[in-house]
Amino acid sequence: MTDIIKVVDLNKKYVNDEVVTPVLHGVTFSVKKGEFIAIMGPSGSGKSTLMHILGFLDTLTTGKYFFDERDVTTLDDDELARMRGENVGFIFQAFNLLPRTTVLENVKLPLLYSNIPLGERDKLARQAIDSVGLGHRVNNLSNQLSGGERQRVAIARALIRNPAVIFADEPTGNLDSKSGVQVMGILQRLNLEQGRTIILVTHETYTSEHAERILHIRDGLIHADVPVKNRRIADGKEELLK
Amino acid sequence: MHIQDLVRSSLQSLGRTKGRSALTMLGIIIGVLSVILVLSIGEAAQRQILGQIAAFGSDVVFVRNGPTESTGQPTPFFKESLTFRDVRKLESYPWATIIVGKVVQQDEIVAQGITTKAQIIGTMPGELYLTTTPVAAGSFLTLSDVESRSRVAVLGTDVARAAFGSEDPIGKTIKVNSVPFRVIGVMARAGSSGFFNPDRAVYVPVTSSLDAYNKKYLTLIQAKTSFQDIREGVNRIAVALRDKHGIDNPSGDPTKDDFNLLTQEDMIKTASTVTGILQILLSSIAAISLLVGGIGIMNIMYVTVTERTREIGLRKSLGAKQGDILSQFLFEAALQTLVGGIIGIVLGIIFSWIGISIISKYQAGWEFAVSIRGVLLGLSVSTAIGIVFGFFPARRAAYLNPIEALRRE
Repeated sequence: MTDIIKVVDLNKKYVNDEVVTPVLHGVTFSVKKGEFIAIMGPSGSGKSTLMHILGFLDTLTTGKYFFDERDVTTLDDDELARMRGENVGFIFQAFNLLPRTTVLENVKLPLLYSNIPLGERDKLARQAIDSVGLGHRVNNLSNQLSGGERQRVAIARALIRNPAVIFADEPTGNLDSKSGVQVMGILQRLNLEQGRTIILVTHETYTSEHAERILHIRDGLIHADVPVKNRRIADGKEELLK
Repeated sequence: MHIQDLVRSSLQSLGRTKGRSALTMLGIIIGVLSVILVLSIGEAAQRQILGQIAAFGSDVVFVRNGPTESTGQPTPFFKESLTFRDVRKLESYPWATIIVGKVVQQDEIVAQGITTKAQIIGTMPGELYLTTTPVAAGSFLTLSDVESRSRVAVLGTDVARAAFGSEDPIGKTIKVNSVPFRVIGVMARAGSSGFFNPDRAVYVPVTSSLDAYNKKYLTLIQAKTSFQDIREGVNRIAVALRDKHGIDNPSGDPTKDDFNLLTQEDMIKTASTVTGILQILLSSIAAISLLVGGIGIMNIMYVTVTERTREIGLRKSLGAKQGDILSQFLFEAALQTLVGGIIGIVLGIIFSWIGISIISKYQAGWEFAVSIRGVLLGLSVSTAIGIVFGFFPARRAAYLNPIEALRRE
C-alpha cells in the first residue's frame, strides 16, 4: 500500500517576539492508506502541533511533508485551504458546531467552500447524517443534542466531502464513556468498512488502543512507533481483537 | 464561494444574533432617518420660502431704509430716511404705476375691551394690487382716506374674529395705540404664508398710522413701474430718491445711499443662499450621526470577530479561504447597513411626512415631497459605511491563524 502521509525530518519552531520555541525536532514517519494510527503523548509534547501540520492548518519550519505524494511545503494559503476542504476531515474535542443552527445546516457547512452543486447538498448531508445514526435529528438545533450526538454530527460534517484522511483531536475528551465508545466505534467502522485513514490524537492509553499503531511523541520527538497488540474494538461488547 | 452561499451564510449568522444585529442597525437607521428628515424638511422650507417670495410678484421693487453695505447686503444699523414725501415724489413720475408707502408695526388693538395681537399696517389703496386677497365685507382704504388722514381700519379675518367674534365689526371702533379707528371693511381669508400672516393684519391709512404712532418715517415703499426691465425701474427710483434726499452719487454706488432697493430676484438669491447654507449645516449634523452609526458597526463587528473566533477557525479547517471569510464578514456588515439604510429611509419619509403635515397646519405653503437627494444619499452612504467600517474587522477575521482560532475557548 502507498503512503498517504510521509514526513521527513520535520521541524517546527514558533517565533514570538524574538523568543524561539522549538516544538518538533526532526520527526520522520509515514502513514499508509487505510491505516488507523494514534498519536499519543502528554500535553506539551507537540502532538497537536504535528496534527495541525499534517492537517494543513499549520506549516512546518524545515523538513518535507508529502500528502499522497504531493509536496505540501510548496503550497500557498489558498491551496492549503483547498487541501483541507478536499482531502481531510477534522473532529475536535469541543465538537465546534455552529450554535442555534440545525444539524442539517451544520453538516452542510463544508459544502459552502466546495463546488458541489446546490441541488445535491441536502442529499449528501442526509446520507452523512444517516451514516452516523442521527437521521431522526436532522432538523434539531445543535444545542438540543447530547454530547455524543454532537460529536456524531461533527463526524458527519467531517465525512461529507468524502475525505481520504480523518483527523480526530481528542474526540472522546468531552464525552461520557458510553458516548466515547460509540464515537470510537464509528471511527473504526469508517476505517474498516470504508478504508479511510484515521489519525487519532489522544493522551489516553485506553482510547489509543483502538488504533492499529501508536506513535508516542515526547518533547517533540517520536519516542516510539509501535503496533497495538490487543486492539480494542468498540462494538459495545469491549472484546479484544486478535 | 457561490453568491447564494454567501447570502445564506450571512443571513444565518445574523439570524443567530438577532438582537445584536438589530441594535447595530439602529445606529444606521437613526443616521439615515435624520439625513432624510433634515433634507425633506429643508427642501420643503426652501420651496415654501421661494413660493412666498414669488407671491410678491416679480415686478415689485422694495425700497427700504438704510444704505447697502459693501457686502451687497442691507446694513442692520441705519438712520431711517423714507418719508411720505418720497411717496409723493415717486408718484409724480409718469412711469410709476403703483407706489405704496408703508408703516408696519407689531402691536395690539383694543376692541370692546378685548385686547388682540395684530400687525398694524399703515398703507395705501394700491395695497390691493399687491395682494391676491380681496375685501370680503365693507370697503378698502381710499385715496381720500390717506389724504385726509382718516382714522379708519380694514381688519384681517383672524383679527376680526378675535376682536368681534360673530358680530359684524363694520362701523365699530377699535383702538390702535390708544387712538380710536372706525372699522370700514374686513378682508377675505388669505392663509398664513410664513413670516407675514395677512389674516392677523389691520390696514389703516399710512398717514393715520404715522399720526397714531407719532412717527416721521416709513418702514418701506413698494413700487411698480411701467418699464419692461425691472433693473431700469430700480435705477429710476434710485435716481429719484437721491435727488429728493440730496445725495450726490452719480456713480450709483449703493453704499452711499440712505435707502436700499430690492427685487424678487434679489430676495430669491438671498433666500437660496441662506437655505442652502442651512441645508449643508443640518446635513453635516445628520452626517455625524451616520458616522457614529458606522463606528458603532465597526465596534460591534470587532466584538463579533472576537466572539466568533472559533467559528472562523472551524470554517478555515473546513476549507474556507481567507477571501471566503473576508467576503462573509464584509457582506454581513454591508447587509446590516443596507437593511438599516432602507428602514431609515422608510422611517425618514414617514417622519418627514408627519413633520411637514404638522407644520402645514400652522403655515401655508408647506408641501411634502420625498427628497430624492436624501434617499440616494442615505442608500449609498449607508452601504459605503458598511463596507468601509466592516472592512477592518473582516480583514482581522480573514487573517486569523486557524490554530489559534480553534484553540480559543
